[in-house]
Amino acid sequence: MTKKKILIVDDSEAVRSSLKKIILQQNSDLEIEVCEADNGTAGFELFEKKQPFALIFSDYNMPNMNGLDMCKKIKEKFGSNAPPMILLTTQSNPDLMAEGKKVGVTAWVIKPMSTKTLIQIVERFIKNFK
Amino acid sequence: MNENTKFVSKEEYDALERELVDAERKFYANLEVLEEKMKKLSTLQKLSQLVFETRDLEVVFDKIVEFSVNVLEVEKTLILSLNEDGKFKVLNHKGYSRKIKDKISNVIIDPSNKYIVKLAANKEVNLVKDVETEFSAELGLCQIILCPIFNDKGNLSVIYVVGYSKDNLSTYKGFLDDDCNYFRLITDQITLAYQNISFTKNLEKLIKDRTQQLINKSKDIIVMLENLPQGIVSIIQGMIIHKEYSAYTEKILEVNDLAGKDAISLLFDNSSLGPDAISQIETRILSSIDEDKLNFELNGSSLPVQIIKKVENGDEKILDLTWTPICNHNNIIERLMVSIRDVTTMKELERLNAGQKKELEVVGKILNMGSSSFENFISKAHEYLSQNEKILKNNADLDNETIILLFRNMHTLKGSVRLYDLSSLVDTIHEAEQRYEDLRKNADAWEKNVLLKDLEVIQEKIFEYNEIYQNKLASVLKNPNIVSMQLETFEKIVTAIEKRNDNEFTKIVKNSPNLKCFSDAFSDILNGLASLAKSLEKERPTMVVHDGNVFFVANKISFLEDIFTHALRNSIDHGIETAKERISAKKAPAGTISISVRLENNKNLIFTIEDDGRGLPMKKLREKGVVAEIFKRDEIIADEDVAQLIFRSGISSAEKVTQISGRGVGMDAIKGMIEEKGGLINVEFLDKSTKGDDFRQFKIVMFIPNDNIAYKIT
Repeated sequence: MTKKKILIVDDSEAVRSSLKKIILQQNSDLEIEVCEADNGTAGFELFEKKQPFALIFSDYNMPNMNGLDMCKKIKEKFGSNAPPMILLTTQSNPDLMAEGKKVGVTAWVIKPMSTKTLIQIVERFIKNFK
Repeated sequence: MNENTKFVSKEEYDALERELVDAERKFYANLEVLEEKMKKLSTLQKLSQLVFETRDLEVVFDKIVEFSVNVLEVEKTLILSLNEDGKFKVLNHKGYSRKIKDKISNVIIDPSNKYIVKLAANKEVNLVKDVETEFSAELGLCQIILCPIFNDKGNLSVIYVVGYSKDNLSTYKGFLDDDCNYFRLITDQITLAYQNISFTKNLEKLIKDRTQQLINKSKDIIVMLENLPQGIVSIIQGMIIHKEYSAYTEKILEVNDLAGKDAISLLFDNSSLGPDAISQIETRILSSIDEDKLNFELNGSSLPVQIIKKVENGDEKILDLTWTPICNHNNIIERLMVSIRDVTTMKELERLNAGQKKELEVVGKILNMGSSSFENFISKAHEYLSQNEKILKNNADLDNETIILLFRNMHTLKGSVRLYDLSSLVDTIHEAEQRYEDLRKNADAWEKNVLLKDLEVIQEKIFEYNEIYQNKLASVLKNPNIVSMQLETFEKIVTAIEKRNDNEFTKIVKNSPNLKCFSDAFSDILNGLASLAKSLEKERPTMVVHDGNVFFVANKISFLEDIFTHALRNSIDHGIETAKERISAKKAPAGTISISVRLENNKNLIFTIEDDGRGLPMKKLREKGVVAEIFKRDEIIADEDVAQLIFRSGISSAEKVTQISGRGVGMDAIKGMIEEKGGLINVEFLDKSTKGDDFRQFKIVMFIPNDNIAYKIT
């Protein structure tokens, strides 16, 4: 069985490693591989190289390319093959959310995200991914 | 001339011409029929359309008879329906002469008529020829087209088309197949129309019912919102309150006209939440409304479920909040419903309940102690605490001796508290004691206020106990019945003395609630040993008491209680080994502690306490004496003198400080208390001198002047 891959894109190393730790701990029964990138450009390149992914977690505000633009690029290139994309942000901005909807962002999660929420997302999207 | 040219004769030509003319005539005749048919069909088409669209079959029946008579040129057409009474009634008719029309306008056709029976059975349009009717005398035989129509309930109606052979009004030459076909079409159309109408009617009824249900439901909801003793509001786009909310919300929040108000400020202004938390909430709500339900599922769990909010009149309310998204059929959240429950009273009750529970516990403890023990405890506690307070307030610096005094007071107090299991005091006192302990190591680090605060907290807790005692128990425990019982006993004693009846006297004294033998007088302490031993992970020791027929006056022995509390604790903590150690030393797993009591000449009480533990650790005591610079390392000191060190403050033979004892004050505290009463305490070895032994068996001997605290009764 191939591992299910999750892409985490965030410019904070601490955020990435804590997300990774929780995901791997909570889903020790599943074969999950976590890939990390620290900005949108790197995230897109990594996605291209290692796809398919089961799920993308991305910060919105990052250097080089923001999370929304990254999602947009992925959706443009891979269309319906793009996985669910969860964007993390600290501030809710209706315009941004509207654009996200157009692009195909699955959900916005307001930071700080609780561990419970994270587990919920992974359960919901990883277990549907074949 | 072409060689193919053919000549015909005149006869041949005429014949051909006749044929042509005939063909032409036939052609035009056919054309006419065709045109006629087209005309009929087009009218039929219109009629069909009408039937299809109609909601009123009365109109349709009008058109049908008109079509039948005017277009199909049928003389007479009747439409009959079978009534509930089982008879046919004319619904519509056309083409009958006035005379007959009057006759038939209410004509009843017998449903048992053989044609009708046949019609009802095969449900097809029937053409019946050469029929004699009641009008036949006048009009001759007739042909009838019978068309069955079944309405949505399956009831039969009939279109009854008649042509009479002798009718002058008619150009009738008998019905054609086409005529039957036209009526077949009409019949089918009408059946469909019935179904349509019934369907539409059902639909209308359904919509009407649903609408009514909806109205009722809305009414219910409104009634609920008006009367539900719970706050319900919903937040819509723009972060404002939706116009429908429960009336009770106004009562809870003490704000009127909530519709259109800013939700965040309505709910969270003057609340326990800080601006950052509120801005978080705002963000989370914003990210939910008008978005997929998923967004709420992911972000909504962090919305607050309980807040404290100060309302207009200054009252603080504890509010429980429940957040529920209201979605449309596409799972997009249209509003966020917030249920608000005012749980202030409930919380208050919970708090009171907890208080009552605590009170009951306290009452139980005091009842176990007994009224006099408790009063003793209170007055002693007060004494120790106020002494400490005085010392702390009056001294700018603390010398070592003062610190030890402070510590000893607290330590003794802790002993009583543990003895009586006044659990809410133990930790507080232990903490205070720990602070004095720290001071002993570093006297400069003292913070007066912290130490005074400790005293205050302890004082407060003791006060709570006393309050409960005074309010709930004192009157009961000091009930006159109890006093009179004691008086009664007293009278008996006097009588016994007067009669010089020693046996009687002894019996009375032994039964007197005020005079108790050692085991009864100190039962609290002896009973407490089991739990004490358990907390030190040792077996419960066996107690051997030789009470020497000495009886104690119950309310005069509180200082003795303190002494024995300390002494027995020391014994279990330091003397008696753990079960494991004892077994490997070939002893019984549980230790034995022996106490003997003697009353010498009614003047001196002599107590000895010994245990079968490991004995006094001579080597260790010697070492401590050297470290404390009491004697020099190579000095020759008798074991008896080394043993005296156990009465010196700050020297403990215990390896580690436990919460129970082992701070080197147990024995020195006892010594202090005994000396205060003008008594003496000493260590005596039980084993014959084998100098240089690491451990030596010993007993503690205490001499205490008998200040009317005990009597010997034999």
